[in-house]
Amino acid sequence: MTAALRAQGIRKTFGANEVLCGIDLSVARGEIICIVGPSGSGKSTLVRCLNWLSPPSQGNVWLGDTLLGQTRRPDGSLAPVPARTLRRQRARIGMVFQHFNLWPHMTAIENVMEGPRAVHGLPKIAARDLAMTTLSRVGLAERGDHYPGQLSGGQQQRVAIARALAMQPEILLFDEATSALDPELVGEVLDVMADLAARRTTMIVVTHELGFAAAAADRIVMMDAGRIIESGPPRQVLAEPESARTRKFVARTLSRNAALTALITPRV
Amino acid sequence: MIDVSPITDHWQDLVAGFRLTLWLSAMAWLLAALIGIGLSAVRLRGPYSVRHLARGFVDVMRGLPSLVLILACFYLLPATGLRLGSVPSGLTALALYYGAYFSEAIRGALAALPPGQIEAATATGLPPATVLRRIVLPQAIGPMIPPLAGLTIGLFKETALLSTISVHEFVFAGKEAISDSYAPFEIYAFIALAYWAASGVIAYGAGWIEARANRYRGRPA
Repeated sequence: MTAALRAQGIRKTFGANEVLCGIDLSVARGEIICIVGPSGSGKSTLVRCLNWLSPPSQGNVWLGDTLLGQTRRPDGSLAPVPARTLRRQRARIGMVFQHFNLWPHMTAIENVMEGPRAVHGLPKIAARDLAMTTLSRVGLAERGDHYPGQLSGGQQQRVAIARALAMQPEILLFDEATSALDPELVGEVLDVMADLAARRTTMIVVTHELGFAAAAADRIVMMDAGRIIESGPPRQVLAEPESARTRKFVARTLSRNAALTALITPRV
Repeated sequence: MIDVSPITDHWQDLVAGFRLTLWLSAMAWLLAALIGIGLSAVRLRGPYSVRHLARGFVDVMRGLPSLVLILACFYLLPATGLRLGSVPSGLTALALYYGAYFSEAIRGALAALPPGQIEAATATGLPPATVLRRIVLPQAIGPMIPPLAGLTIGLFKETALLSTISVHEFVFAGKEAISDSYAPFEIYAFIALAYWAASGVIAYGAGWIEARANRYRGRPA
């Protein structure tokens, strides 16, 4: 079976700075992959390469059987696809951003309707129905007529998830979707993401929430300095990491919670 | 007591002058808007060399007094073989001058849009025309209005400079009325009031547009 998305030899350089040093990653249909790693390890850059928002300097991405953003010339070399084609391909990939990037001049429902209308050519009424259904999936059916500025961060991010879902993408990319939220609001967004995971929505989730990764991911990918240094089921990567770097990263992340747990757990 | 007869005696001429001032302002504004849109588009999206050319043009315009540009268009363009009347050459000068300033106001408002706004649209697969029409412009209009309103009022007032190249606009009509009536105080006071009132109308209109364009902001949670 072809993978939902497959990346091969992704390199990304900014000037002399190599941010991604050859990433291979394959996501099966219905698979949930969490990418973890320290800041600056290239996680965000990688997901931005995967939907060609920031085309890789080198390497290929396949979306199903489609080579993303590139086409093979008769002589075998690769050339960028026309903008139209790229837009059609991008519409098959949903993206949720760290800072939501909702359009502030549109209500929640208008944010969700825009893509289906403009890209899939859905009539207004059908788009509104679809948007309403999608908003209720993220628990915001009553907030459709609110502007983003009238919603909490958690609600805004759920609208952004609905906006991505309404395009009925083959895969969803989450770029640190909870990192900009108040700690209190992280839960409601993770709940929506966990629900999507439970329905076997193909997802690549860049996250610092190891708890979510442990519970929802089929596979955790650990990145450091532009490379994948470890990859496997959550138990393996989090509990029995092969590399010292992963062990350190996990221990450091857990120790922050451990101090809290120790403080509030009643002593026996 | 102010004697209004110098004004009433020359009412027809003054009104004709004021109408020409309004017409010149509107025409120069439209041309400047076209130039401004073109320049800002080129400066944001054009090829590298054209970008610099546009930037150079804006810098030159900003470094010149508008009166100098008006005189240059009127006296120097004919030397290059382009023979324009006083009205077309005056319009050309104002349009070029304010087009440069307009482009700065437009470019500023477009550049102030958070990049994430366009990224979200791009990731959704929206075509560029839709991104511009549905995402960029509705958000950029509001911030664009205050600088554009100031420039529009400036343009309106500076059409008075065209009197120096004998365009029969408002100030020119006033000067003629004064040389006929020897009542500079009354007539200049009338002219000043008319400019002031019309500028007020522009400012009010701009405020209304701005408020509408920004309606989606500042909605309390």
